[in-house]
Amino acid sequence: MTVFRLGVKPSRRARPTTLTRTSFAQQAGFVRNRSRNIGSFGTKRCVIAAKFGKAGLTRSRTDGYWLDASRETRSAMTATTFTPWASLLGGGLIGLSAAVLIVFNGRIAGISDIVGRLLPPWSRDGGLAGRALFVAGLVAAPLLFEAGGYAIEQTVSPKLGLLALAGVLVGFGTIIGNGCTSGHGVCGLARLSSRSLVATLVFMATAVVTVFVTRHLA
Amino acid sequence: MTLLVYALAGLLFGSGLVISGMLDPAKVLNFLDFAGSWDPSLAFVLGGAVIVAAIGFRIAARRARPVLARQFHWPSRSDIDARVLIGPAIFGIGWGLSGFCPGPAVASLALLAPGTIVFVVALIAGMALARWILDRKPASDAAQGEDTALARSNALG
Repeated sequence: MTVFRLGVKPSRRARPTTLTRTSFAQQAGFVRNRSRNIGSFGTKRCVIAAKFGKAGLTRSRTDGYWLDASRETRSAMTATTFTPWASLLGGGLIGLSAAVLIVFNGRIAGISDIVGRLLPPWSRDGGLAGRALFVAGLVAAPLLFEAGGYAIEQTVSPKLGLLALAGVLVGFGTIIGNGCTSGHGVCGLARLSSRSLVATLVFMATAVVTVFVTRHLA
Repeated sequence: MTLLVYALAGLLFGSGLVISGMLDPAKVLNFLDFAGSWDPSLAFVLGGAVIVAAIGFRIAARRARPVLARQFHWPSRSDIDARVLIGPAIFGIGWGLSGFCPGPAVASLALLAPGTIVFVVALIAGMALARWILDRKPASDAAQGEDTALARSNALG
C-alpha cells in the first residue's frame, strides 16, 4: 500500500473519511435512484478528500451519490493512489482502440477531432454516424462498468465557473492545435510524428505550469 | 460493419479510461503536480497506449487499405507551425485548470457530475469558436492542396 504511495507527502494526503449522505445530489434535488450496493460496502468506499481549496465533490460509483466534501478543507488537493498496472492495462485498451480504428476503418482515434466534427458544418466524408457511435460507446463504457458493480471514483471541482473557462480553453486549443491527449499524445507519438511530439510537450508543459501556479503559488 | 467497429472502439477507449483511472481529474492533476502529491499513473497510461497503438499503426502502414474502409485517413500535416504551438499551449492551461481533456470529460458525461456537464458544454463552445475563426480566414492557411484550413484542422484529434 505504502509502496504505491511513493511521492505523496503524508501532510498532503487527505484522510479517507466516511460521510453521512448529505450529498450534493440531494441538495441539488436530483438524487438518482442508483443506490444499489449500499450496505455491503456503500459509504465505506467513498474516499472523500478536499480539493481545490474550499470544496470538492467526490463520489463513489458504488452508491452513485455525489458527496459534498466541503467540510474536508485541510488539504488543497486530493491524493490519489499510484496504480501502475491498472493504468498500464487501461492505457493498453486505449491503444487497442486506436489500433482497431486505424486498421479496420482507416481513422485516427482523436477525441477532439471526433467530437469537434460532430458539430456543423459537417464534412461529407461519411464518417458522421461512425463518430456519433464512437462517442456513444465512449459514454456507455463507464455505465457498463458501474452496472457490473465497478466503483468509479471521481473528484470533480465544484467551481463551475473555473470548469467553464477550462472547457472553453480545452475546446479552443485542441481545435487550433489539431489534437489533444489522444490524437497527439497517443496516436501522434505512436506514429512517431514530430508535430505531435511538439504538441504533446507543449500541452504537458503549460499544464504542469498551470497546476504549479494554481496549487502552489495562488 | 465500420459502424460496429466505431462503437467497439468507443467502448474500448472508454473502458481503458475507466480501468486506467483517467476519468478522475484528481489523478490527472496529481500527475501534473510534481511539486505536490505526484501520481505517475498517467505516464503508464500513455506508455501502454502508445505501445499498443504503435503496433496497430505499423500493421496499418503495411496495408494498402484498411480492412473495412476504402482508404486510410492519415493526418496530412507534419510541419511545425504556430498553430501547433499556440493550440496545445491553450489546451494545456485548460487541462491544468480542470484535470479534464476531451476524452475523459465526454466519457464522464453519464456519471452526471455538474462540473463535467458544464465542462463539456464549454468544451463544445470552445471548439465551435475555434472552427468559426478558422473558417473565417481560410485564405491565409489553405495554401496547399485539397483541403481547407478547417479540414486540415480536423486531420488529427
